[in-house]
Parts: sequence; C-alpha cells; structure tokens
Amino acid sequence: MEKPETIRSYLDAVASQIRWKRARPAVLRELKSHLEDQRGSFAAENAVDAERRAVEEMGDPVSVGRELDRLHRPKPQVGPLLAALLLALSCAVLRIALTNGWAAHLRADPLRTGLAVALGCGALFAGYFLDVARLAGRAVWVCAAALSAGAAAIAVSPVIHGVTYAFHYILLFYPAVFACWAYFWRGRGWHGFAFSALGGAALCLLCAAASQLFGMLLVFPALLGVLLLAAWNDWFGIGRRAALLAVFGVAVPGAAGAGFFAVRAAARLLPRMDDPAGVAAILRSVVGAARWLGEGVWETTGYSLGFEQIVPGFGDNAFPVALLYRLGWLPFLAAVLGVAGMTLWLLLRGLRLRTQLGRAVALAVGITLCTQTACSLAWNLGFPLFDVPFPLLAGNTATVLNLFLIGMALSVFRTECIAQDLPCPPRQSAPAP
Amino acid sequence: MELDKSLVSGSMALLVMKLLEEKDLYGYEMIELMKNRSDDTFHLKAGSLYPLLHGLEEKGYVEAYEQEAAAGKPRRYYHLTKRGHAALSEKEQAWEIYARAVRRVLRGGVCLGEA
Repeated sequence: MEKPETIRSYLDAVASQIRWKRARPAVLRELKSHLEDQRGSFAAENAVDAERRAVEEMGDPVSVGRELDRLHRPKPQVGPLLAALLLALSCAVLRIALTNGWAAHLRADPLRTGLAVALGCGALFAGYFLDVARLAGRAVWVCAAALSAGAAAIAVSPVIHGVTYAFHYILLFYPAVFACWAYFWRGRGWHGFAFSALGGAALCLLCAAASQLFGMLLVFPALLGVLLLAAWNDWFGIGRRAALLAVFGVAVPGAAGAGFFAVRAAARLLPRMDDPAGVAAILRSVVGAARWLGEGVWETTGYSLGFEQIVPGFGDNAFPVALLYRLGWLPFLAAVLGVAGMTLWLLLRGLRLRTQLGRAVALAVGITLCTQTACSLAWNLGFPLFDVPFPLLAGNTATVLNLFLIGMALSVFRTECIAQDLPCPPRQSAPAP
Repeated sequence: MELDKSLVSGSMALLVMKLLEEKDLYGYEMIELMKNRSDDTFHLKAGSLYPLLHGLEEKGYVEAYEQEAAAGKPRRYYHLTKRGHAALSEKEQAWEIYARAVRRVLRGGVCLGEA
C-alpha cells in the first residue's frame, strides 16, 4: 500500500480499516485534530513539508486502523434481546392459552396476538438499530413531530372510557423524546435550560389537554428525572447548583399544576374504590380467591357469574389478574418479576453508561416501563386508578411500542463504545487556557 | 542512544495515566509533555497513543469529553477516573517491584545484607 502523504489520505487509510461505519466519524475527528496540531507545529518551525511530516509522525495507518477497529465494535446485546423476545412470546402464548375456553368475543385472538408479537419483534430490532445520537441531533424535528402527533391524536382519535385512544400510546414516547430534546440544548446556557423546560411543559400540557392523568403521572416524573440528570451533570453550562435550583423552580409550579389536575381527576376516580359493586371490589375478591398454585376458588368471591363474565377487560389490561386467578400467585409473580426485573436492569445499566445521552435515554425508557408496570399492577390488584396494559404481558399495540422502547435502550448499550457526547461545559480539573 | 521500543510499550499505559493524574489533557499535549518530561527519550507515536487511550476508556480508567482548547478548537480531553487512580497506584507499585528486581539482577543479585 502506498504511504499516505496528506492528512486526508492518512485518514482515509485509517477509516478503511474500521469496519463499523458509525464509529469512523468520532475516531477520525480526533486523529484529524491531532494531525492539524502537528502540522501547525512543523509549520511554525518553517518546515516546507509540514503535512507530510505530520502524517509520518502518526505511524502506520493500517496498524492504527486495525487497532482502532478492534476497540470500536458494537457490543451485541444478544441476551437482553432474546430475553425481551422470550418474555413477549411467552406472555402472548399465556394470553391465548388462558382465554382459549372463553366466549369468542372475550378470547385473545391468536392471529392478532401473533401479529403483535411479530410486529413487536420488528419494532425491537428497529429500536435496536436506531441511531439515538442522530435522533438527538435532530431533536427539534423529533419534538415537533411528537407534539404534532399528540395534537392530531387529541383532535381526531376516538375517546374510549374518557381516554383519547391514540394519545394513550403516543405519550409512551414522550420521555424518550424529551431526553433527546434536553440533550440538544446542552452547553447553551440559560437559553438552553429555558428551551428545554419549555419543551417539557408543552409535552405536559398536551397530556393535560387530553385529560390524561396517567400521561401526567408518566411524563412529569420522567421529564423531571431527565432534567435533574441534566442539572446534576451541568448540561447547560450554568453550574450544577444553579441548574438544580432552576429545575426545582420549574418543578414546583409544574407539580402544583399537575397536582391540581390530579386532584380533580382523583375526585372522579376515587369513589369507584369504595363502590361494593365496582371494579375495585371485583378485582379484590378475585385476588382474595387466588391460590399459590392452580386455579383460584371462585366460590369464595360470592359472585354467581363466572370469572370471565365478571372481571372487566380480563383478556386485555386485566390479563395479569386473569393469570393470577387461573394459574396462581407463583406463575403471576414469575411473569411480573420477569418484566419488572428487565425494566430495573435497563434502568440500572443505563445509569452506569459513559455518555450523558445514553443515560438520559435509558432513564426515560426505564421510567416509562416502570410507571406502566406499577400502574397496571395496582389496577390488577384492586386499586383501579389507571387502566393501562402491563408491559409485554397485556395489550397488542402497547407490546409493540414497549418492545420498540426496549430496543432503543439496548441500542444505547450496543453503541456505548463509540458514543461521544457533544462539547460540554468546563470541568474543575480542566487545564487553564 | 536509541531506546528499545519493547521497553517503552509495556509501560506506556502507566506513563499516560501518570500524566493524566495531574490534569486533564488531550492527545497532542500528552505527546509533547511526555517528550519534555523524559528529556526527549519517549517519542510516543500518536498512532499508538489513541488506541491506548481508547482502550483505557473502554476499561473505565479514563473518560473523555470535548472542550475548546486555548486556540479555540474543540479538543477531546481525557480525565483519569477514580477507577483509573486505583489502577494507576497498582501499576506504580508493580513497576517499583519490577524495576527494583531488574536493578538487583543487573547489579549481580541480592546481597544478604541489603535492606
């Protein structure tokens, strides 16, 4: 191979050895900067062939490229991918098997459930191969698209049981969208903080406009979590203390607004808890009738109609309680702990990531899954405030979207070795100019 | 006198981490600083330095961040992490033991009266 004599040809030679194309820009940027410094140094000594000498100083481009190629490879997340797929598949099989004997309109349709798993598999891989850094670079468009989709859903989507159907799904993406949005404003001072907070406020306002208490419960803490992470790591360059104070300054009126909205909604929802013929009473009797292993004792509930005629939405969002009643506490706990364990793992692993964007996205996805898990669990155990699907265990559309979010978090883990943050504010230990 | 490369390569991680112990540096600065501190003995090639730094980053010994340097150009600075500090002190101890042993052998072995 001919020896490169210019910076461009040297970098091309190094790039040709790095097989993972996504790793090249970050690596080459650093080498280019070094070569330019070296060229400047030789030029200052009045060397006529400063560029050629700078290239020579670097060493053999092929061996440098090979060494960098060895270090910069995607970290495949085969185990977590398989675990997510296995969980989704086993939950789908359970749904079909447990509702098989029931009336046709109550059964989990094998075709639709199978299709959801197939689409979910595609969504998982789509999220897995998604370039989150590129998404954050286009955060303005991403946020505009998320807001437009939410507004369109509120305008045209049907309202079922007081919930705007399509918005219910769109809001699952809002925490991740906000992570990219807040990251986009890094290093831009108070301006950046203000725009970041405004974006979050717009997302929360849409939830309020859609009368989505669950949306508020999901979006507000997730946004607050991401903003706190941003403040703690001084994303905006205004200092940690000032940023934390500013976040609390934004959070207090935000929490007051959300609280006002929540109190109004709770006044509507809470009486259902004490209604002896209401959903809460039915669910609690079913929970009381469950055994550790095997089908529960229906007679103890005192209802004359069978389980499938009594429990509302048992084939869908109430599937966890159907699982509890039909198979017992142990299989129920195994399924719940499987999903909850995966969610917790995503969250903890994400918080240990090197890059700020990776941490923020993993935190957003983790909070999204955790909130759904907690709300659905509460609903199924007799505290029916939010009728939401349990991640992967219930709901077809929700399964597809949650698998996409899991894939997105795994994509951040996969690209950790090449992920680099954009310029960030000075550190204490940074050299004096 | 030309120094045998193999003598340097084994201890390069230790030397780089030692430089980063004092302050955060970018690659070019490290090479210049190393040259000055070693009286022009260590001419570290940039082509060896960057893979070494990326390897240390992978192990969690250093972390990188971009910041504008004095000239106004963005540079990738490296910062020694807590884990890096611990690894550095281990490497320093190991180097001391190794260097002492080499010196003893070169001087003709351990004397019974040596402390």
